[in-house]
Amino acid sequence: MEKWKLNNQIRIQRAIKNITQEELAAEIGVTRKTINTIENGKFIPSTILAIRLAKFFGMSVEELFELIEE
Amino acid sequence: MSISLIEQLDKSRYNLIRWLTIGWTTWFGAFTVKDWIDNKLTLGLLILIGLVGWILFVVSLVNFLRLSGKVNADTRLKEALNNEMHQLYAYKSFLWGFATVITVICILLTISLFYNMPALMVCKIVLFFGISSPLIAGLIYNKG
Repeated sequence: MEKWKLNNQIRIQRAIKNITQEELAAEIGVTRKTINTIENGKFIPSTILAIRLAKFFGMSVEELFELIEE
Repeated sequence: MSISLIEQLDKSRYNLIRWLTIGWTTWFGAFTVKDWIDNKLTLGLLILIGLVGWILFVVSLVNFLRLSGKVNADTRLKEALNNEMHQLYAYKSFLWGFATVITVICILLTISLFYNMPALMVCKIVLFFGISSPLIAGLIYNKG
């Protein structure tokens, strides 16, 4: 059975926009912890949260998140 | 840099859970252990510690319930502070509590084969670990 991992570009995009996790969290309307756990791959965001993040960075969800086979 | 209201409430909630844990373990721990103590001085000290723990627990619980009420009354705050991640952590914490209760009961059942234990003592031990466990798990999951 294949194992899947969800990678994301959030840390890179934050660096490009020069914003902290806390600032991003305030913009999206979540806690900094939520952003941190998503960034580190410890938590998979809901569809709504993934879309909100992608919209904030001006990207599609598929560009911000990538599903890879381990 | 100003911290957003969401972050402030998140930090407050975490701190309240921490004080709840300290209060509970101190109060109920002393309450449970005191049954095994004969020495009057030690018993007195234990009761005093238990009283401090009880006050801490009650004050923290009241403030925690107030904060939860404030969060639940506001849609934006509720969405941010009770999102799927926090729900997942709460669920995992309760799972730990359940597993702990089962484990403690199994251990006590094994001990009962060799040693008669008063029912009240058994109840106190199960309750102590059953509530301490999800509180501690919650602190670990929500850290950082």
